[in-house]
Amino acid sequence: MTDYEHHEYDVLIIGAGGAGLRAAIEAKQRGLSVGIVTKSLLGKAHTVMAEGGMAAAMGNVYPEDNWKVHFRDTMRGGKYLNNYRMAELHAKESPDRVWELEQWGALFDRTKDGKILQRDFGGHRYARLAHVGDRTGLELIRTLQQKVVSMGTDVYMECKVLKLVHDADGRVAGCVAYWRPSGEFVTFGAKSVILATGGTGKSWKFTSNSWEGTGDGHAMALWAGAQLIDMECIQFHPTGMVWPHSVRGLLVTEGVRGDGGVLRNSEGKRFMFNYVADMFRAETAETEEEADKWYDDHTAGRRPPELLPRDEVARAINTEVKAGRGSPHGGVFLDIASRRSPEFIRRRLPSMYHQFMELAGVDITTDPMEIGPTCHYIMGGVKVDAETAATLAPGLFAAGEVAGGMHGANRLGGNSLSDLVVFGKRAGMGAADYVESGQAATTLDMGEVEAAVKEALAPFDRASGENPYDIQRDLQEMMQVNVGIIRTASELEFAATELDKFTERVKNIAVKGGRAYNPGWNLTTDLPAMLTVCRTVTRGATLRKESRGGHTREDFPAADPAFAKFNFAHSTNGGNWDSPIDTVESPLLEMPDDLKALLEEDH
Amino acid sequence: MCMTRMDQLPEGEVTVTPMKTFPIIRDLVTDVSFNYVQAQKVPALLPPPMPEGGYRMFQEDVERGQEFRKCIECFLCQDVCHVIRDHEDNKASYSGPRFFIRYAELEMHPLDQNDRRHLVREEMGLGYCNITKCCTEVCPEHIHITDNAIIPLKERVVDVAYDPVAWLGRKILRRTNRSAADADVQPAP
Repeated sequence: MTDYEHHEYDVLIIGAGGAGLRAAIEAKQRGLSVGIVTKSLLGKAHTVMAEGGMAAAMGNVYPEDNWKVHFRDTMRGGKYLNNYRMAELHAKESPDRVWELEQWGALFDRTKDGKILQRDFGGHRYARLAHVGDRTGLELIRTLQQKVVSMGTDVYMECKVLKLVHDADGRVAGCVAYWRPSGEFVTFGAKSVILATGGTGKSWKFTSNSWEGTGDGHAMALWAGAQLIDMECIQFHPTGMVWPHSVRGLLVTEGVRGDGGVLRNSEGKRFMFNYVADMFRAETAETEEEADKWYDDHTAGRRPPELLPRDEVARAINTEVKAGRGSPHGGVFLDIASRRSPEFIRRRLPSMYHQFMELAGVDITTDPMEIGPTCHYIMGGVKVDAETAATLAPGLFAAGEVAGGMHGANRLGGNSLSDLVVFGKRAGMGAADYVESGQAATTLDMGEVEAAVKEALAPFDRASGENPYDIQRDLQEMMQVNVGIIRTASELEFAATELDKFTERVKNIAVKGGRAYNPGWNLTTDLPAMLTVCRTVTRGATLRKESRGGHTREDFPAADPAFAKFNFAHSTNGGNWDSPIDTVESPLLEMPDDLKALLEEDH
Repeated sequence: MCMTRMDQLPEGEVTVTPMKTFPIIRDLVTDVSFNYVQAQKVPALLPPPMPEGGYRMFQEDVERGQEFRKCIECFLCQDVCHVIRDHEDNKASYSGPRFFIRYAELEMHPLDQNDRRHLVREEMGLGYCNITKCCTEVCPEHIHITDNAIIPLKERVVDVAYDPVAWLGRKILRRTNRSAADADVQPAP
């Protein structure tokens, strides 16, 4: 047996985004020893990408706002698939979480009378997003980072966790990881572990997620004995950039279409007119002439079809691309250049203009953009207890995007940043209570550690085999086409058989070179998690034979009340990444009558 | 720098080198842990207790700090700063432009009750900066590091160091010069 570098903590947190840092503060304030492990650098988490703000019913702009309205909005947005208790706690506690950030140094934009300014956002009844311009996520991460640092917390950066490790009694007791700079292995023993690893978007070709979003935490939780729910519920933005590569995944605001931008296929045709569903026909323009009158005078013509609801636009783009009328890089064209003057575009869309100019050398006043559906956020995740963030694996907790239930089938904008701090704090509390209860694990099962290390090193021993980048690229392509924004039975079945083939391919990867900063090897250690996530997403999408929130089925376009009663919950018995996955219908929590009444009230 | 587009460079071979200020780990990867050590030295914000309904601050007052909080911590400013780029031994007594904007932000924070001026002068090496503005030029967030942070910070530090009235006040009142380690842990509201 090898001697590894080893560290011990009361609470070990995997992930240093908003949820992980907030959990660390909580556990630290309880006087416990806390370690944070992140595969990136402190302060570089995907949290910084959130622009709009943090939803919290503080009532600074609209005094009539309160937690009840926020709760109702969240449940409606989630199409009632939410864990109601999480939505309730979130609505009640988010104002306090915002105010405490201010005690730690956050500088939010202000109202005239000096309070925290709140902005409007889709799905929220009142203006309730606390924000700092368009960089609220950065403000959140800096504030929490600076707080964590000032408390003297141990942070292990560029340290990638491979697998959670149990003790002899099956409780989660820590993890095994490696340092990216050296490739050396390290073990962490912990009385409790909090997963705060974020999302999974990197399994799709077009995604707004940064390189870290490979679903490590989702997969590790499943392997360790926890359940994943709602994995089919994924938010895709219909218009993300697909080309050039430097801006791939960058989201293009709907404002471009609102200001006159239109969608065209490779033949130059404004194709949205072919996709107006019957229910929208009465309110949608029939000709380009009629649609073009609407922009200047909303009474002169009906709405242009480019402004149909997001699902309708996405379905149309999807159909055009699959019919072979897409742009050269797998999207369609969003054209505002031929329709508005350069002055108008620069005035109305300054940040879009500058972003594309600076990052991609694309001048949107002269050239069309190549856009397509882009994977943005996963609502699904580890099944947790609302109060404590405890998973079904003893000793394991989860918060943030990696946890499921809070957002149901669809997330409202602004609810993710508040989710991070509300449930980050609760995970810190839950883990601390668990540690203090005395039932926590003490020693790592070194057999599990050795097995994980052996598996991680296997690709170096193969003289020949596949390149991990080829597998990643093929996987992203396959998921984008078959388990993308619009799903259908035949494609999902195909995806399931393809994923079996990917599993075999991953077992045949060969890696060259040493272990220090070897990106090919680093990716190889991500692929098992990516595949596990893809299998649960595909399974859930196959079984949910309806369309609801972030899950859209071409063959079942309507919501079916029969599916509104449960989540699909996935678990695995073997504990390995290629173990079979079991899926059951897990009934939703029964909502108390007083909360049910809130959903019906018209505020 | 990091935002340079390949098509803006002349035809032919392009040479890319790692950041010079930090030790090389491998290829283009450098060890930037110097910055995390500096971050640990910053005394935290010390606000008064929060009143019912939250603090009141005004947009024009928070805007000064907001500019510095745009920093994405790319550490390019640290890389081009001559004080540590060309003089390795200065690293022990110099925190660099990234942290001068952090100190400036805290000093200008409407709620802060800490006083870091002595610390910034004596231990963080603000005096070494000779305002060549290299940091400002490379900032991808276009933060006016020199004009809006370093120069005002120098003025404040000089005030406290050489103003006889301030000197006397310090003797009598003994304003807090707290270190990060004894910064209060604020209970959650």
